[in-house]
Amino acid sequence: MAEPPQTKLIKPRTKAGKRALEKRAPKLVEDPKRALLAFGNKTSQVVKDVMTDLQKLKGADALKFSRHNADMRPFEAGGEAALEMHCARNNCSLFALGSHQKKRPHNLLLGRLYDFRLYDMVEFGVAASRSVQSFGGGAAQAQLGNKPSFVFVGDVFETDPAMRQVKSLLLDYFRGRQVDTINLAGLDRVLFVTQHPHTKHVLLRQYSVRYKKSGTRVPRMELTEMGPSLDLEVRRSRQPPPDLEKEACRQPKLDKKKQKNVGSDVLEGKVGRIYMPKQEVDKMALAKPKGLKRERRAAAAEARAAKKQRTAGGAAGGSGGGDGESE
Amino acid sequence: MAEVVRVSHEDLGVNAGEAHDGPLSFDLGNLAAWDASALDAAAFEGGPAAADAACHRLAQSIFQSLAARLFALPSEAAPVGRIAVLPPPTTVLPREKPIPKPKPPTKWELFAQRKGIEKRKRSKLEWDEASGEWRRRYGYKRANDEAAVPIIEARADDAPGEDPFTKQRQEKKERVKKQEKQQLANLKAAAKAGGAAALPPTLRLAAALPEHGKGRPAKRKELKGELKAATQQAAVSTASMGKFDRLAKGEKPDDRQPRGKKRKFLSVADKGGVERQQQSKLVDKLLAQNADDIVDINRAIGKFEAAAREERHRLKNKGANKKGRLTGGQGGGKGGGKAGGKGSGKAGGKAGGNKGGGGKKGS
Repeated sequence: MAEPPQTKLIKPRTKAGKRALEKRAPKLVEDPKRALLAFGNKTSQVVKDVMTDLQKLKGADALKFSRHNADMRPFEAGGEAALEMHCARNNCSLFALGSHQKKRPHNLLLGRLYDFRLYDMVEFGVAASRSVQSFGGGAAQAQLGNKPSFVFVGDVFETDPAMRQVKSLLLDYFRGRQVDTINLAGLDRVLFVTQHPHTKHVLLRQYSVRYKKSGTRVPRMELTEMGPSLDLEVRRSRQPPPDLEKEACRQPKLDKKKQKNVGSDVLEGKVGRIYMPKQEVDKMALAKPKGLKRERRAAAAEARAAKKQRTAGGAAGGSGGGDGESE
Repeated sequence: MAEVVRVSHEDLGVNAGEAHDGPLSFDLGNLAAWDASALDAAAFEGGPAAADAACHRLAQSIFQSLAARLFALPSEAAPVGRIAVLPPPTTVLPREKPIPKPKPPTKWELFAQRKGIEKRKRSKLEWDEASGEWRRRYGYKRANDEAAVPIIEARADDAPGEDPFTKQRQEKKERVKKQEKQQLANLKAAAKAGGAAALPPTLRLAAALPEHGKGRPAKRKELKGELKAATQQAAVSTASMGKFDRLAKGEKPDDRQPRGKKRKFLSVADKGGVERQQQSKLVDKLLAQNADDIVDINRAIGKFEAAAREERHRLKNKGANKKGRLTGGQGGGKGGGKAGGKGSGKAGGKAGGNKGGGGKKGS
């Protein structure tokens, strides 16, 4: 007779380990997606430079592998296993895989994962590129970690499913943290994406923003190209499986925490209730009303008289003095 | 009738950027704007430079419009700038991980729900009778701690020869064990109902090895590695370290090689002066280590002179009489001759100056 298999509870051994696991746990409002940047079997200098710039754009949310990974071939059956494993280990939900082949020179594969399973990906060929470094000091104005603004131009982003995917992918890749508020002084870079009408390349440009006085409330925005500037030829792509897409795009209901002690009134609008400690009016220093001037003077005179009497009467009258005064 | 004054934007010094003309869609939660109209193909003709210029123009005007929308959002002043409240993003993007599930109820929670038992809040503090003060309900220095009592009064129903303190500890251990068992059962039930995602993110359930003497015996095939290691260890554990033992079936002579480094000894009859070499090596090594101890005559003289200079300088700073200085100087001057004396005197002045500064600091 076979006994049921024993089960063991595996707990984190250290507090730091526990915190690390909690950090990676699914959340209602998610952290910015991290990107794993890796190279395929062979690479070219062009792809390497592009990857360096991608790492710069993602800042702390990017992890770049320096070695070649021959087993990362996500378009082939079973070729995504190594990629998924490395992404899961490093908590990365975005990836970029750079490679260079005779058939697909300067290949850049951008993709996403959902729950560390391959979600979708688009393969680009780098037709032309200029790195951040080649634009000089423009990048210094933009602060790392600030949310970039996005500008997409062209009807293809609505009509063409592949380009719609490109738009969604790029927005997801670079948008960074989800926020409720933003500092208006911090709009310091713009990602511009369009499709070249003739070559059909995706043009990706990044500009740094400088505010100039305009005389109105909105400053005049001056854009300077800061790089990277990429002309990308769209190659293969894989759409997300429909059931996975449905599951991944489900958004949680974010119910706002109930605000305590705030209600609304038809006449007064928003009404708040606050706690007031007990007020001791007798001991408070209040403004002296003019109408009581005479009474105050009379009381003062009485008090003076009582005091005089007390001093004349000696120590015996001292204890009873207080009561007489108040009456 | 007053004349109508016409003022242009330039007169007022208003130079707002050029806004984009054409329909734009915005997703302010993602700071994104897009122009869904077809591109002006003519602007992109004429090489990459023209395309770059067209991109720059479009970006500039569309971003200006986006900024106008962002600056029009309700905002608050803050020390770092104006903080605008963004609307939630409208573009649907896939999530990174599944939506967290609510914690499945435990057996007790189900029971409480069925019986209508509500959770009540209890204060963290409790009145401690023994010390007459408020103490924490649980944890270090808790109130009414049974284990902290130095004397337990005997009761009529106590079994003779039983230590009440040991009994207390054992009972506590049993309670803890029971609680752990219940927790594990709850987690197992949760995992069965909702999969691994239903468990807290820090916990994981795994198959455990069965306790000794219980469960399914491990198969020989699974233990191959361990068995091999054990047989190898046994084979070299005889007096001859397996040298004169018969090889078992399937055992290779290489397996008999003892692990680790073999010690080597010098031959008893010293041939070729190996021992002599080793000894001389050792002596050289010792000498090299203590090389600093050997007197370098020049350095010694230098040190001696430096000390003497310092002493002279100290006396000078102190305002000592000339006699003291002269007696110090005579010793060095007479021995080295006139020229030598002069030279050393100069150098000494410099060095002394430095040292004098240090000396002052010390005092």
